[in-house]
Formats: sequence, C-alpha cells, structure tokens
Amino acid sequence: MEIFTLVFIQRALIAAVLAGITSPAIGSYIVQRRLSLLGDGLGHVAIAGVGLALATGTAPLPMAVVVAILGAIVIELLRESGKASADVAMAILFYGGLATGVLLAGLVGQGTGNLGNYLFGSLLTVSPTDLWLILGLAVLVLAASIGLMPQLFAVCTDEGFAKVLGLRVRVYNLLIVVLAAITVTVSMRTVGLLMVSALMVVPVATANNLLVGFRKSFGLAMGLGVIAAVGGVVGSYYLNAAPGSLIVVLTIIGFIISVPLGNWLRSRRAAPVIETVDPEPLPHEATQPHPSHIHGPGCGHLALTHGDHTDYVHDGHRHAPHGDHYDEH
Amino acid sequence: MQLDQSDSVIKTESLLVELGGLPILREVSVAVGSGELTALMGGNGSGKTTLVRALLGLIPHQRGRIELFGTPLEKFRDWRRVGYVPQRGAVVIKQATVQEVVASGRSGHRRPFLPLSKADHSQIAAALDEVGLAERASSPFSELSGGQQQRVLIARALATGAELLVMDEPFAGVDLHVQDDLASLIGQLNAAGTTVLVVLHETGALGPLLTNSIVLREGRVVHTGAPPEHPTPHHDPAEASRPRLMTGIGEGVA
Repeated sequence: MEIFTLVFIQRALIAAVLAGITSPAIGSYIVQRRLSLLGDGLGHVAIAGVGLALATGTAPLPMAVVVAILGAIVIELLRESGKASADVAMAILFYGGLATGVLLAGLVGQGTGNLGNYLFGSLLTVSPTDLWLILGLAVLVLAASIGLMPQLFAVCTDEGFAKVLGLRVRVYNLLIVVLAAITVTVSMRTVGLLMVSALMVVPVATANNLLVGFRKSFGLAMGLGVIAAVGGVVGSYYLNAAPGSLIVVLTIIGFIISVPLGNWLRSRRAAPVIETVDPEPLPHEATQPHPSHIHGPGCGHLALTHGDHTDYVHDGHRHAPHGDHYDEH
Repeated sequence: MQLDQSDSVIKTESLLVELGGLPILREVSVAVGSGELTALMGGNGSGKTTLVRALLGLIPHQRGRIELFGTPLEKFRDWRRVGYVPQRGAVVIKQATVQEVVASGRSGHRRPFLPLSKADHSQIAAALDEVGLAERASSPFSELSGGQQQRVLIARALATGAELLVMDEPFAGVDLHVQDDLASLIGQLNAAGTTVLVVLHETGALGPLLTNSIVLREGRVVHTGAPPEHPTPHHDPAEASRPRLMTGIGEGVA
C-alpha cells in the first residue's frame, strides 16, 4: 500500500474524511427541510469565488468560502420573502455564479482546465494551508450541527411550532444555509463543486432507507459519507480519474443497495396500526379457504393491527384469523 | 366575556390582520379565560387559522392589540407556557421517531451543546403517556395513522409544559371514531387545568365539553360566549347540505 506513504494522498485522504463527515451532517437538516438542491446551488455560487480567486491570483479556498456564505445569505433572504419570483431569482443566482466563475477563469487564461480541479475534485490540489483551513471549517460545521441538533431539528421539521417555542427561527434558518455553504467549500477539493451536493444528500437518503429516527440516520449517513469519500479518493488514484465522480458513484451504489435492503428491514418491523375501528361489528364473512398458507408473524403478508387482533393483507383483502378459518375484514 | 385582564390567557382588542393587502380579520376583540375550553369556529375562509397564527406571532397584525398572559405580544417571552398544535397536514416529518418529534417540544428549554436533562426526559415520557402513545415511542412518525400523528403533535406541545394549548383543526382528516377519542383527550387535558383554544369546523364530539366559543364570519366576530347549539348558520347552504363526514376534511392548511 505505497499509496498511503505519498504525502499528497495523505492530505487528500484527510480532506476526504472531513468532507465525508460534514456533508451528510448538514445534509440531514437540508433533506429534512426538503431543500435537497440547496447544496447544488451553493456549489454553483462558490464557483464564482474560485473564478475570482484565479483571476486575482489569490487563494481559491478562502475566496470560495466568502462568496458561498454571501450567496447563502442572499438565498435564505430570497426564500424567506416567499415571493414567487424568488424561485427565478435563485436560479439566476446559481447560473450567474457558474458563468461568472468560468468567465473570470477564462479571462486570465486559466481556462476550464484549472477550474476543472475545483469542479470535479482533485487529489493534487490540497495544500497544507488548505488542509488547516478545511479542518477548522469542518470542526465548526460539526460542532454546530451536532451541538445545536435539538434546535435545528425543531426548526427543520416545523418552523411555525419552533417559533412558538420561542426559538429564533430566522437565525437558525440562516445558520443552516451558512453551514451548508461552508460545507460546500470544505468538500470542494475532494468532491468538486458540481458534485458536492450528492455527498450532502445521497448518504442521508440511503440512511433514511435503512434506519428509523433522525439521530440514528444522522450517524449512519456520516459513516456512509466517510466510506464513499475515502473509497473514492483511493480508487481514483488507481483509476487516474477525478475523485469526485467516483465518490458520487459510490454513494449512489450504496443508495441502490439500500432500497431492497430497506424494504426488507421495514417488513420486519412492527406492523402499522390502523384505527378505523367502526363500533358496529362487521358482518361475518369467511374468506376463500387457503389451506396451504397459515397467516402469522413474518408470513410475508403485511400485518395490520386492527382493534384487538391482527389482519393480514392478502391479495387486496384483509384476512383476520377466526377459529379454523379467516374472516374478511 | 367581561374578563378581568389577569384572568385572560389570550386577549385581543380591535385586531386588524391583512394578508397581501387584503383585510382578513377586522375589529376582532376576543378573550380566552384561564381554564376554559374555547372553540374558535367559522366556515372556510372566515379567518380562524389567520387569527390563531396572529395570536401566536406567526404573522404580523396591522392594528389593534394582542396580549398573552397579560403581556403584550411584542414583549411576550414566556413561550414555554404556550403549546401550539398546528394542522396535521401542514407537518411533514420525513425521518423521525415519535420520541424525537415529542422531544423537539423541549428544544426551547434546552441549552445548546448539552444532552437531554432528567427533567426533559420525564416531561417527554409524561407527554407521551398522556396521549396514550408511550409504547409507540420508537415508531417512525411518518408511518402512524392520522389520529396517532395528531396525538403526537399534541404530546409535542404538552412536552413544553404548556398551560395554554392552541390547536388548529385537530379533527381534520380523521374519522368520527378517532374524533371521539381526540375529543375525550382534549377534555381530560382541560379538566387537568390546561386552557385550550381549539379551531373547529364544527363542534362535533367536542361540543358537550366546550365552555366557551368564538364564531368568526368573513373576518369578524359574530358570536362569543356559550357554544352554538347548531353551528351551521354561518355556513352557506351548499356547505351545510354536505354529509357530515365531508366537512372538516380537506380544508386548506394556510
């Protein structure tokens, strides 16, 4: 494993771990708030920052951080205004960011070649200074997204309720988009600005398929993010590809596996309860006999708790055990 | 309705609320006394939900005064005394257990960066017990039935330790049997000392338990005091002739 002795790979791996942890952490809130494409937009805005840095000859990462945060604040103010035109304004902001970045990089003759490192990720561009900045930003994002979990969760699930709790909803809403903007720049080196949103959203969707509960799925999503990010960096070294593409493909493979796995796990969980209990008892009606199959826990049919007994959904009917036969319910 | 100011949990004077430049509520002066179970009634578009949202400071009011627990709304900070139960249809929680949803009722009390305290845990458990869902604590919220989700939202509001519950159409979209269950739960909470303001399309199962009512029509108060016996005169005839099961279902969530 001579790859791990290469200093630039070590730096890329540390950056990948940080991107893999932070992206799903903030992504969990963004998905819960149904703003899955926010990260994509912030990535586009950050490209303008990179272009500006290339054009002025300054360091790209700090410039991307500043521009992405400013973009995030504008996005949140537009969203909060709730106007129909806000949707279009956001689209203009996103494409404007991308176009400005490409244009500025082109003006100084950097072309899209150099910019490509930031769009799709690169193993070679993580400088030691960058790494320290990435580490600092990642610690900030993690501290806020874990430490403020109850407040952020309340705001993301039900804004009105959170406001009546006395929480400063505007501040937390702004915090979420600013943290997302910072996360985008943390992941910029590894995943690239065009694909960073995938690392924020896909591991969260995968974890949501597999586990129940916000905290559990939050933890699993971070684990999946790290696996994909590290796997992508190592794999791209051998494939000589941009790490971002491999990271995203890995997260999506994980998601595809989680769909049947999640269905299987769900079928093993406790039956859902239906409450449509009519006080009038149902007329007695036996089902078509099916001697070859006995309904019971884990028999393969969806089980419903119906009042004081369990019904099994069988071919569009609800079968309730009654003595030696089943009743239609 | 001649309530002493110290007795009123909610009080408004000549309230005007506009949405998009249109006056939705006009000259609304109402009061909800401590310990009452008050129904806020009216047909579709009468301004019930708007009034509730204005009372809680979720939307601004243009004229008039609102007081909560004797304090003007602008200066009111004691939000842990208020529990809000929004319309179930407006709350979409993709990934959370029942326990987590109810625990979010504590997030106004919690210090950042610290785990749930003992008091938080006991308050959450008590709230779940009160709505009869203690054994479903680790179930996913999104897989519960409508009536159970409504109970969880009530428990979430109770977990704040609220003295006042404000409920927006708790009966929307649940069948009559579940309405009876929810009505008796609301009655129990009120009997235990919680003041309740409940937005209703019609009194239904809650009718006999109500101690007070406010009826709105086109943004004005048309009745306060004893709950109306036949709460239909404010409905247009087409609405009144609809079967009972249809009313209260599918009303807008705004």
